[in-house]
Formats: sequence, C-alpha cells, structure tokens
Amino acid sequence: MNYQHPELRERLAAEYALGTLRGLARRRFERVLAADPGLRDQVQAWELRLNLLAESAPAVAPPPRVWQRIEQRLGPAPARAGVLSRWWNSLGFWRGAGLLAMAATAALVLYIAAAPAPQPGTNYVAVLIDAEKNPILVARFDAESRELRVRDLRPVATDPAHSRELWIVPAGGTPKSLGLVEDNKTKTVTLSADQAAAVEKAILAISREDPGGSKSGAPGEVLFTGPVVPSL
Amino acid sequence: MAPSREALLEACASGDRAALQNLYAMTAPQLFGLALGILRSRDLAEDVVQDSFVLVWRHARSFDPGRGTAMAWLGRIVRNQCFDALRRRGREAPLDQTFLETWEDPAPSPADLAALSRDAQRLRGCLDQLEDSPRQSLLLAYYQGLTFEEVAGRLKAPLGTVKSWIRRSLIRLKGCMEP
Repeated sequence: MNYQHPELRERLAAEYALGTLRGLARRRFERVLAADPGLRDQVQAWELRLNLLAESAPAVAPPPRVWQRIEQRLGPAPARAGVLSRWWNSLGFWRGAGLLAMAATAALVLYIAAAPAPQPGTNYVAVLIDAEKNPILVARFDAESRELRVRDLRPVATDPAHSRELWIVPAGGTPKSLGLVEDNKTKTVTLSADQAAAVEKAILAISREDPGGSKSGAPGEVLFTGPVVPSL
Repeated sequence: MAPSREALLEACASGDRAALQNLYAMTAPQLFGLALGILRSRDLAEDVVQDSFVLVWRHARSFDPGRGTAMAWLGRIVRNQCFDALRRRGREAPLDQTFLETWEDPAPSPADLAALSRDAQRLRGCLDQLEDSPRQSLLLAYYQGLTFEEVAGRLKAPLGTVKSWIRRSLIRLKGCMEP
C-alpha cells in the first residue's frame, strides 16, 4: 500500500483512530506510524477529535478495587520518591499512550544511558526486546548492592495460564534462572557475586513457562532478550 | 468551583497525586463505561481503566490543552488500551454478546448536552447533520468498537455501504469541526 498518498493517509489515520482499522492492517499501519511523525500527528488529531465522544459515554461506576490497584501500582506519592523512582518514571515517555511504544531500541538504550545515574560506572541497564525488536521490559543493575530490577515498559495483560521467568546468560555460559517476573510488577533480585562480576557481557531473557516456572532448569519459549550494557 | 479536568491533568504533571484521585473520581465512570462498551467484559474493562490511569499519571506532561480537551485525551488512552487488550487476547471479536443487544446511542439529553465541553457540543452538532444510518454506524464503531463487518451485520446493511457511510461521515465531521 502506498502510505504516501495524502487521501489514503488521512483515511487510514481516521480509521485507526476510530478503531475500524483492525487486525493485520492495524499492525501494519502501526509499523508505518512508528517511522512517520507526520502521520502520527494526523492520527492524534483524529483521536482527539473523535474522543470528544468520550464525554457522552454512559457512566458506569468502576468498583473501588480499580482505584486501589492504581494506587498500589503507582507506589508512594512522588514527594517521597527517591532518585530511582524518578528514573523509572522518566521512562514513562517510552510507554506511549497505548500507542507507538515501538520506539527504536537503540534510541531507548541511548536515552537510558544518558539518564543521570547516581553512582557513575557502577550501573548497568538492559532493554529486553521481542522478536520484532519492540522494547518490552527494562532492567537496571546496581553493581554495589548487586540488585537487579526488571519491569514492564508498558502494562501487560495478565496471563494466569503461564508464568514469565527471568534468565541471565553469561557470555559463553548457560541460562540461569533468576525467578519469575510477575506481570506489571517490578522484579527485584540480588545476583550472586559471580553473576555480578560477569554481568557486563551477559544477556537477560524472559521465557514463557507453565505456571510456577521451568521444571527442567532450562528456559521454555524465549520471548524477550537484551544485552546488559553499562550506563554512563 | 471544582477544578477543570484540564487543570487536574496539569497538576498530575507536576506530581500531585491528589489531583489524579480527583480526576479519577470525575472521569472514571465514563471511561469505564467507554471501555465496557468496547470490551463487553467487566474484568477486562477494569484492567483497562487501571492501566489507563497509570499511563495518565506517567504521561500527564504530554497533555497539550492546545490540541484537545482533557476528556478526549483520556478517552484516547482508554480506547487505545481497549484495542490493545482485544489484540492481546488473540481475538479481535468482542466478547459478551448480551451487551450488544442492550446498547443504545448515548445521545445526550438537552441537559446533558449543556454539560458537555464546547468542543464536544460542537461534535454532537456535526453528528446531528449526518443522516441516521451513517451516524449510527460511526457511533457503533466508536462506542462498541465494532469493525465494518460487525456494523454491517448489526444494521443489516451491505459491507460496502457501511464502509462508505463511515468514511464519508469521517470526512464530513472533519470539515464540520474545522475552525
């Protein structure tokens, strides 16, 4: 399809915003969007125009647990939050408002690497990407405390039928499980001294496993991977 | 006077958690209603509203009141989350058919209309200029997240007709909304 044709661009932007563009066509359009800021602008204009209808949506009170969970996920109010949570929050930009989180991974790594690190030279980051190179999770490792933190870049749908397991693969070594990663929660794990020493050339991976994690000690279906790189 | 949704969003951008809670209280019922219409699953709609407000908090800084209203900005996040949720389920088809039967065009009453933002009133005015079936097609697509095929099935109209109803309605709406 010729995505340069002005009428087609406008039509697809409108149909994307309305939601009638679905399935493969929607995915294909999103890939074009990721590299086309002008088209993104057109989509946003359409979304802001059509979503004026949200004001006349029928009001249905959500149960109180919805707000409680939002509060839980946001953690303590930011006035008390430290450097780390600000750093995590600054990643919010990359989550894309439900749209277009397919930012180039290289750019994301640069962005993270450029973010101020409290202890220069002792921190590492990794962006775990899927087979289509979309960034899915981000990890940060503090060499001093040996703490590795991993979390989703975007909210993910919980999947009770599977567990997600985190692995570290040292250069030339075999994958070692670091435990399960719950959906939408920050996973914190302390690496062993050996793992910490070899972290720089290691790869992090997330696999899909039966509930409870891999029984064999080896990863099942590998979903996301990313190399660990030093931050500035 | 209660602060506007726009003012609350701007306060969220500066890290004011109480503003988020106020914004939630003001807007969550309609956003939940919006998500329910598309997803037809309470569980899924709860998840979407939850995810959306986490995004709202983190992205509040990117809200630009010069480009659109706060509610449209919120609606945009919620609807995009809905479509992502449908996609993640590995199916694009809506879930519970019983919601389909009970749906009505939430055309606002005159009193409700007066409570809408100026821009939303204007959009409603533009919608009223469309003929019944094209307008209904567009509203079904918006509020129910229906595809062209589903709208055609619903209105018992040929697919090609529904496509051109919706496409022409979109063009007319844009022309009507332009300053």
